[in-house]
Amino acid sequence: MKRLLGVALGILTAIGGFVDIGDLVTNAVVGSRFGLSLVWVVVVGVVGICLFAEMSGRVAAVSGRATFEIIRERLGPRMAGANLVASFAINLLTLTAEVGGIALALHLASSVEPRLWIVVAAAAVWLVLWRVKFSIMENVAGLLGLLLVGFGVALFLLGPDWGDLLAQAASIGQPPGGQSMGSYWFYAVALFGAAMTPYEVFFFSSGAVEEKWTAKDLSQNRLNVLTGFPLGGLLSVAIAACAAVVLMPQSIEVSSLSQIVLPVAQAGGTLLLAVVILGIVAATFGAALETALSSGYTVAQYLGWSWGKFRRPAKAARFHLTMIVALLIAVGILMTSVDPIAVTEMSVVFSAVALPLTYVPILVVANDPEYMGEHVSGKVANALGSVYLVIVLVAALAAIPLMIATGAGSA
Amino acid sequence: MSDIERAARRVIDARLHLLDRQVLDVVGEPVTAIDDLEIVGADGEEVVPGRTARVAAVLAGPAIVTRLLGGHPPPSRWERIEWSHVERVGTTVDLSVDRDALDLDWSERWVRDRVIARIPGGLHDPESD
Amino acid sequence: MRPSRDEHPVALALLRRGSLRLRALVLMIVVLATASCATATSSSSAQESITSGLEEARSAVATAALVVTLLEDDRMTAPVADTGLLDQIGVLEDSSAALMTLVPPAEMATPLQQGMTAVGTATDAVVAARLWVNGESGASAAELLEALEGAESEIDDVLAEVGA
Repeated sequence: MKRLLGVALGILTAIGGFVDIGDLVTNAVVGSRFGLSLVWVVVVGVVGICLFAEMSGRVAAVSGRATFEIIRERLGPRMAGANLVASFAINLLTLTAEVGGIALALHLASSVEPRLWIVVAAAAVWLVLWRVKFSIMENVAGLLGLLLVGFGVALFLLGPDWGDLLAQAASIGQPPGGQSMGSYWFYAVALFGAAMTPYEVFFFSSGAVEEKWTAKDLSQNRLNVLTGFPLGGLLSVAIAACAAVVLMPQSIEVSSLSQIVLPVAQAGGTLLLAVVILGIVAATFGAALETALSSGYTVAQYLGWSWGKFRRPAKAARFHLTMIVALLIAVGILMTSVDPIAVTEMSVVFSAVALPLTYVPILVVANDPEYMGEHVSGKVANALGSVYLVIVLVAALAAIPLMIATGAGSA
Repeated sequence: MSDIERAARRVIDARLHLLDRQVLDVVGEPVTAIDDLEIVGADGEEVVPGRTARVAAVLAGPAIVTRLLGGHPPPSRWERIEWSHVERVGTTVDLSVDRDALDLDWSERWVRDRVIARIPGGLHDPESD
Repeated sequence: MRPSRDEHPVALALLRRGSLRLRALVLMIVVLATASCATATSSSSAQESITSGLEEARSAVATAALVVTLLEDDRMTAPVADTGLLDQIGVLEDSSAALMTLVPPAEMATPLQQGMTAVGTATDAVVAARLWVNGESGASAAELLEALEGAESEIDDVLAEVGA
């Protein structure tokens, strides 16, 4: 019974932990502009993140080595150093977006100035990193993030024409009238980057070390990822579908968090609205924790410092200092009154650009018997892995040209 | 050569199996990554081409800068771990001493004593409650 | 010594020739970049800018109308409605700035003027709605919705005239 509970908990946290500010904003924007015609990208992204997270979790559980230690061992100090600078910068951008997202959600609930909430949110994130047990942190954020199921409930309450939604989902590569092909592909890349953000891999592999996983935990790892993430992906689709049903017909273009929750209010009233806003706070808070940890993980693992939330802060001093600095920088960026939604859109595009930097080393090491022994990737994982290698590279190369050509999707 | 001798004479590729590997201390705490290696002749003198040479120490800290940019750090700035402390070379390099017994960890200790330990709760064990 | 002295002029010439090409390239990029940023926009790009500015404003008005409807139906709390309208006032500000900074060709001057007026009407309607949300207005929800609808159709008229 206890074991079953543990399995259920793992899956539920994986669902709740899947959606972050990037998924939330990108899916709503895409839903309001392109309907469900980009749902296939969410499917591609979910399969990709399953594959990728399973590999990095397996590598960490079997070898005890987390992602960035491996990146340095494989690529040498220079290439890995360049990789570190890029990954750290993009992770910082994502952290900024998540902290901004918490502040926006709290602003929505209270109409108190968001700049005040930014400070409160960052301080709360730090406090959790400083004091709370790793497993509690992960489970609470994940379970509360499950409240985003409210988007799914809202979709059912709205009673849409399901046949029409299916037809939209089937029209792959055909943006609805008035939308350009360039923007369509730009948002395809952004959606892919939102589903497969690199920090999830840093967090997943380092988290396996934090929770002291061994080869025995592999089946649990596989189950969490293979059921949790696809269900989390369904939440993403529900967000897009809500926007497609309510906002697209009125040609409302999503540019703020307050618009994302309008369909929920229309469908379920204040109660469902409150549930969803709490879910957004939890999801962005959880992701802020994960990205803040990832900033510490990447630097500490590259330089060989001691790291990990399971240690007392004094036993991983430079790791904790790195996270504090990252949070301070994020607050500093947000204090310039930059729009967190704009930061989010940037962060998902650059996530797509940076994806090969983490994907390729993990793919290689998952096949190295010195690390993996009998747990090297199987034939299916490798076949899928190679297909995704191509997809990840194409998305990374296409991202910046598409962004410039379409003015970040505004054309 | 017997099998045992062959196993004992495992070939270690310094670039592949030593450089940039994680170093763990005797209880498995991370110490550093191997930033560079100090090589000396068999008698501890300078390396003479054609004669045997051996790894004298693992270098850390400032050695990463010269690995990235080229050149040599002055020996006074070297942060060394004597090779005699190395117990095992696998996917990590394991030492036979405690991390606190090493000189090279000064930056970690500085941050710990000056910053982290001074913030309330810095010594709190997050896994205890 | 000699060979190196001989090599110098050649190397310099190569460098110069290279730098000439480089300079030409840089000059070309600069000219192209400035040309595309020039203030006097062509007719089609002015049309595009006006259209996208107006579409943003239209989306803001539609959002505001939805917010007012939801609050009137008790499907939303006042803080959420307030934040929602505040966000849309920001959008209208952006779209009005985009229109105001445009330097259109003569045949586009009238629609641009009408567009700016329409965005002004829309801003007034959304600001009025926000006053109502905060309980600072005697207007009824129906009146507000009517004003928002009027602003929306005004924007639609200009959009039709620009030929979107």
